Amino acid sequence: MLFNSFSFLIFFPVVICLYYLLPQKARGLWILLASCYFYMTFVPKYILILFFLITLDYFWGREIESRTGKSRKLLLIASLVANLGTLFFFKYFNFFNENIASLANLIGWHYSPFLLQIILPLGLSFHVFQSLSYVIEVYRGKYPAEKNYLTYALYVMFFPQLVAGPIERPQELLPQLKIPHGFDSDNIRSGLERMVWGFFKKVVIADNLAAYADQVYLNPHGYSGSILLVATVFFAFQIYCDFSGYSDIAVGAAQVMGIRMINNFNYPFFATSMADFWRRWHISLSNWLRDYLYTPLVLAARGAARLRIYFSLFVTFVLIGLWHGANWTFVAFGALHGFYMVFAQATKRGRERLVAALKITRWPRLYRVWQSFSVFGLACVGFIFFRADNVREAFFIIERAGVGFWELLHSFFYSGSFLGFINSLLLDGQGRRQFVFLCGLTILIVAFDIVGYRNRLLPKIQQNYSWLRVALIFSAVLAIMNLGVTHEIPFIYFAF
Amino acid sequence: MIKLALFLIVVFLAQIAIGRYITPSPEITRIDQILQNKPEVIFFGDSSVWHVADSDKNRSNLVDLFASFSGKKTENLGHPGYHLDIFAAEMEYITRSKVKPKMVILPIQLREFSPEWDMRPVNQFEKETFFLTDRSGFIPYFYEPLAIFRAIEVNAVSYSTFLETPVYYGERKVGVVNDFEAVDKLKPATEENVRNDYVYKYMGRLDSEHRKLGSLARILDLAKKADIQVYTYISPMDYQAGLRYVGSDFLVQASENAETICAFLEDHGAQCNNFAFSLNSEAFDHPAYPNEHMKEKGRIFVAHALSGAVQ
Repeated sequence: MLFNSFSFLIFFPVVICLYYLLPQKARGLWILLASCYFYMTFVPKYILILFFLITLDYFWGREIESRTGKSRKLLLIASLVANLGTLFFFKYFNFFNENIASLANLIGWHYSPFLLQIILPLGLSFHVFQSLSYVIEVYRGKYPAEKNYLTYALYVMFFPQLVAGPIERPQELLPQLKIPHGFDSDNIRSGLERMVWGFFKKVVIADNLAAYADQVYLNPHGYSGSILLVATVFFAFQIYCDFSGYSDIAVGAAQVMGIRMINNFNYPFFATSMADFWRRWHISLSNWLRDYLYTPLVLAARGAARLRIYFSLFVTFVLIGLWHGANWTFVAFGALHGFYMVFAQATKRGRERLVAALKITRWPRLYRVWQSFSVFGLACVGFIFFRADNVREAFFIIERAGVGFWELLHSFFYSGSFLGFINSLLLDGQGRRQFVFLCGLTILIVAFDIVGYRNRLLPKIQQNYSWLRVALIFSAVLAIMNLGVTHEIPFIYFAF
Repeated sequence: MIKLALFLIVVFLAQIAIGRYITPSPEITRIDQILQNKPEVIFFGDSSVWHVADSDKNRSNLVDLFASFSGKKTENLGHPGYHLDIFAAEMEYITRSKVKPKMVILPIQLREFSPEWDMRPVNQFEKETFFLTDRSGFIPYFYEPLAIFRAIEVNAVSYSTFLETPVYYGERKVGVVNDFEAVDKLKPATEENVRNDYVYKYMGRLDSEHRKLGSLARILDLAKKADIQVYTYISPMDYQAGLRYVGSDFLVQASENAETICAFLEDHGAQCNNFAFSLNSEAFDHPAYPNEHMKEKGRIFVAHALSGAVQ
């Protein structure tokens, strides 16, 4: 059941109505049952895998807490092996096997790899990381093991964040699942408004932009550099609105039930550096990897401090890439971001000196805009790897889109008319109006983010102009109902 | 809760207003306007019934020429990319209307059975078909939200399915759409490219079980029940260019496909008028792009033939 489906529009109000009608004690069980149903609408039998991991981690968590000495570590390792082993089996086995076969072919040993004919369980990467977070926190003694099996099961299976996050920490989510939540109309209203905003980003912005980006990326060799460039920019906004839209729906849905979840995005395209970008993009994953991978790696690695940091940064980002999917494009995506981060660290002082020498900081706003544009450009190069079918195609797109930038400028100044310029960017079967609409959507999301980022207008509107808030929500609902696309475009991160 | 209920009621009413007054189906509006004129003949068709070449002195399109030659009050229901499937939906709507024409003219393009036309997502016209065939009278106001949230399934073909559709030369698979799909802005009109374009658009063998022939049967059936006469014809195409680029195989395959259509029509009690090979290359526009867009000479020929036949 996708959030952007009619089934969910029926499922959610029914779940919420019964949630508030039931006595407090029964609500947790009701949400757990609803979460099971939600998960089973995809591939029903996969719920067994989920409950297998939940059961293991629940008991191992309790054992870890009660034991001392080496056996605690052994239990932690057992949990890591079980969770990551499941992830490897379903997500990476075929990829690994195919690459072994390719390597074997290179040395003249021809063997045909055994490939599993299985579908990846939905949201596996997310709930495995959430389960690991619990076990590690219990092991570190930062959170007590959960005594109630059903509460722990709900922590892993809570349907708003089950398939695409945010990846919650036990400290944040588990206590909220144990306390009663009364009917709070302000909470419900804010949650519903957040959901509407999420639907707007997904259905109106992301899905419309997807129509352009998908068509171009399906056949990149058939398009000019300028079209590839525009498609890449559209894809950047598509993935942003798709994933942050999902997160808004998830956070809003939880809020309707009185549960607060982490904000997964914080205006990433206004980041002033790549490090800042990762503090604003998919925050729950960045935090997870920082706390459970990067920091232990820095501490465990040997050698000079600086080299340890570079090594750990690079490894962490390659794994971020691989976390997204079993494909070299994702590895390249992660490696590129790892390179960005290492390069930024290594050249930090030099760049600071250059900025001081050029006295750019005399125009702080202009400098900030320049920084955000640079980060956006670098992120777009990464998104090309993210979206392309294979690494070779990604390099082809980068090369052609690079030329496309100059083509775009040339076409803008020399095409004779603005209409001619627009026409040069239209796809087969696409009208000018449709293209302008897509550009308008991109401008709209940037404008909304500017308003939110500056953080002045939004609170004012929320507090003093309730009629304006209602008008905005009303317009957003009608836009969702009338401006979306009519073919199914699943959330991009559902695939992970 | 009362506020929320009120909000939802206002949204509901606003959606009805949007569906009814702001974005009514242009297709329904167009046919209603055409029927209001009480035409004797309705001329279905694709872009070829509208096309006038830049070089033409006579600026009348095919339908206007037919109307003037036949003296019959004729309305043009043509639309670029339209084909037998959407004609069937239009026919269903027309037969449900109070005002009906005495006759409809139905061009059939040999190219419309190719994956290039048949499978192209923008040529599916799901929304138009939904509106034309819906009998509830109320659901169309909620078409967009229902389709967006997939309460009604309206997507026949996705773009990736289109690109993966096999392309045949006779019965031999010669690739998939992605191998042939020309992005005209980039693809130069070399001899090889034009040849491939002809293969892509005409060389597949037409199966008598093809979905579109089913639509043709439905049109004939609907017309019969509504007592509307149907005149069908296979549109002329630039067979000489096909012969030049592909060779004699082109004539063999195109003739076989035309015969399949004729046999189907005859089986369903309709007359077959095959104009596919009636015009030479000079009668067509856009020489390096296989299509059925006729110049003045071609249009006059077809209009004469049609007006003579329907008298």
